[in-house]
Amino acid sequence: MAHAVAMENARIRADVVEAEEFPHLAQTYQVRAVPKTIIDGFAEVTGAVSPEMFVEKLLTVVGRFDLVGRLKALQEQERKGG
Amino acid sequence: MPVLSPRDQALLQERFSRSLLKDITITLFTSRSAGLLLVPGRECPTCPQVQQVLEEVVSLSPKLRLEVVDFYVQAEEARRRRVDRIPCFTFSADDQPYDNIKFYGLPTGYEFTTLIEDILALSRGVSSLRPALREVVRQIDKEVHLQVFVTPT
Repeated sequence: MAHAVAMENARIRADVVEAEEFPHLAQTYQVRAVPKTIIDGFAEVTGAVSPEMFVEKLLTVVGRFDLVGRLKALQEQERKGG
Repeated sequence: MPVLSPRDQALLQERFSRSLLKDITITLFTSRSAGLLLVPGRECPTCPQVQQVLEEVVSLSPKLRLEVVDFYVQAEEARRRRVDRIPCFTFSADDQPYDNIKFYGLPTGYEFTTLIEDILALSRGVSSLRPALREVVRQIDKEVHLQVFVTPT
């Protein structure tokens, strides 16, 4: 999911980190369950979530509430369009 | 001893031949001395395994290539592509680098699937995101860093 997002926007860096091979990093972010995604070193998404939920969280963390609204409008259109 | 079973190799070979468009280069940052000479602080026990997995994957299509960079000897290249620890690998599609997409560590279990999906998506030039998600993600105008922690399953 993170890699798919990064593929669409070069400003987004996405690292998949094998926690057991990088224990110090995993410890820094208190990784106890996986997958766990850390956004900009502070926000987190734990567990496997839907792409929609992931993107909404991402938009919230970067402060683009306008895009959260835009996403909801687009999803509504998709629903109506079948 | 290959990591991929003959059946997996055949399945991947078929999928690659059907789906790959752009040429994909995987660049692995590793320590070439790993396994032969142990320099304290530079141990990389999984580096040879990562290289083996990637060698097997790229051998399954003429559109895939593996480039191996020594993290310590070619430190400038590592810095340029923003690699700060090893083993790490990243991608290019038709020579366009995607330095913002990286794996740190061995891609096994579920992450092996992620690796294959990444190769397929980069090669066709479109992510797996639905159009609505793609549209809003493209509009994010600040730098963001995502770190996804996983374990082998």
